[in-house]
Amino acid sequence: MSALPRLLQLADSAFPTGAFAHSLGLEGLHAGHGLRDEHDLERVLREQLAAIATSDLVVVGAAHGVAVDHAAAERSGNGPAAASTGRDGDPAIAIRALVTLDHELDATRSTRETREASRSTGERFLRAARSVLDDRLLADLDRAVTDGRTPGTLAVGWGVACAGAGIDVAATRHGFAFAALSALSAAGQRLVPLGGIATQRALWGAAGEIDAAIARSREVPADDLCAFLPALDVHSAQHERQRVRLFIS
Amino acid sequence: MHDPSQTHFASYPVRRNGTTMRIGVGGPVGSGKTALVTELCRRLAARFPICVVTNDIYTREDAEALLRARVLDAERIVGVETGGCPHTAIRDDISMNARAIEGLEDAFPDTRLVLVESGGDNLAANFSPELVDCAIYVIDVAGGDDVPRKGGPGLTRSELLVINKVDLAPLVGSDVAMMVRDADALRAGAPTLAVSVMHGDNFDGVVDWVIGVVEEQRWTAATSTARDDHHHAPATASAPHRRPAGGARGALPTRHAHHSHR
Repeated sequence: MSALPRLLQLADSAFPTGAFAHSLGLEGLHAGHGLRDEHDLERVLREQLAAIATSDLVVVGAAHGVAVDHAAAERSGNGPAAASTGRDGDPAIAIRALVTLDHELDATRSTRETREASRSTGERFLRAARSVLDDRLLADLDRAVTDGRTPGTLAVGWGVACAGAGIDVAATRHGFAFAALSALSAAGQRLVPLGGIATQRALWGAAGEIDAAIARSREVPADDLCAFLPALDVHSAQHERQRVRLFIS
Repeated sequence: MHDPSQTHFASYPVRRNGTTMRIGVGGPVGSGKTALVTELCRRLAARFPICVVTNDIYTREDAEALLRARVLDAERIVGVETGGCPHTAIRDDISMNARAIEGLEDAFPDTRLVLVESGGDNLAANFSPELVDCAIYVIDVAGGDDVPRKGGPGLTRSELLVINKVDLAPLVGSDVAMMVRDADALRAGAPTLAVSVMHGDNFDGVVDWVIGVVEEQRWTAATSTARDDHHHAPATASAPHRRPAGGARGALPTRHAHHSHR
């Protein structure tokens, strides 16, 4: 079957990851009067997209690559050439690479809330994906997260799950970027509050930049990640002490 | 060709420790959910270890009320923000609640009961079977004695319906007997208890029901598929008031399906 329905299902807001309970600093921004209308929302979505272009999207692609290479090595057997490149089909090697990516991305989160949001949605994504997708590497990654060996950011689990579902790397990146923007726009809709049409306009505008963000992500080495969102990070930090709030982050 | 026999999915999407029962507590704002949870903890915490997850919509009021009551150690109470979507957090995407429960069960392996209190919500709310084993839905007489006739999954799909604040019934003109009978007509044998949590009237029935769930894994399944009140007869004030004693631990078949994963 086509991989498209699999991508649509994983990216659907109904796929249970708990993302609806997170605003990633948007609620703090709203409390600080920085989120008043759909134009503010679109601006924030574009800023968020620019940040994930040099962080999450890089890791999504790299994790997808690790999973695809691992699957290819498993299919072709454990030849000496494969072993010399570290692609001998040993899941432990693939997990080590994923854990490194996971820690690198986790270190780009400036605030406790954004770090925890990424870990919690990533953990639940893995749990849900494992329940619908029979993939050994995904199961091993889930176990590593449960055992506390790795933080479990969403981007790493997403890359591995999409590879396991036969989704190519370009669509994997697109799906991740759109799902991230969609979740954030839904939070903005509830916060302002905005109408459904206005929210979709903001999302439509920001999503038009996804191609450029993905192109940017291809230029960034996986060991040189960065995410620069100072205003949102400050509001995220303030959000921790906000008494009246809808969202966990 | 896909061969289902060759797949090896995770056995259950929400981790279980094999010893803890999870009971949801839902109901409209102000119906007495937090008071009920507090009272259950006060009465039962010495009998078996309890933890509580509260789903506060805007603040930590419910969690803080429990803390002030000093019925549990603070570490055994976790508040979860729901992104303004209390229904979603207990029904459609239970991720954040599941994570909170797993965290409590990891921190307190001796836990026998986790009470998951939903944020204030309406009659359409019910709990995902992946989140809790069974659920209590709390309404109160001051919300109107026609509420049980209105149906909705909260009323029809909860394993125990509690009609709270019966002591206020004469003051607000509510007919408790009629409420119980209307609930019975919709609930296909699942029990309904009319109580006053604050003053203790008939609350022993709720306590016994919870003990039955935790210690015997026994409760009456909520199997009603009723959606509205169009097909049952108008109520009369002469209908008997169901006594809570003996009503909760039902003679009907108990639910076992949710235990198979444990």
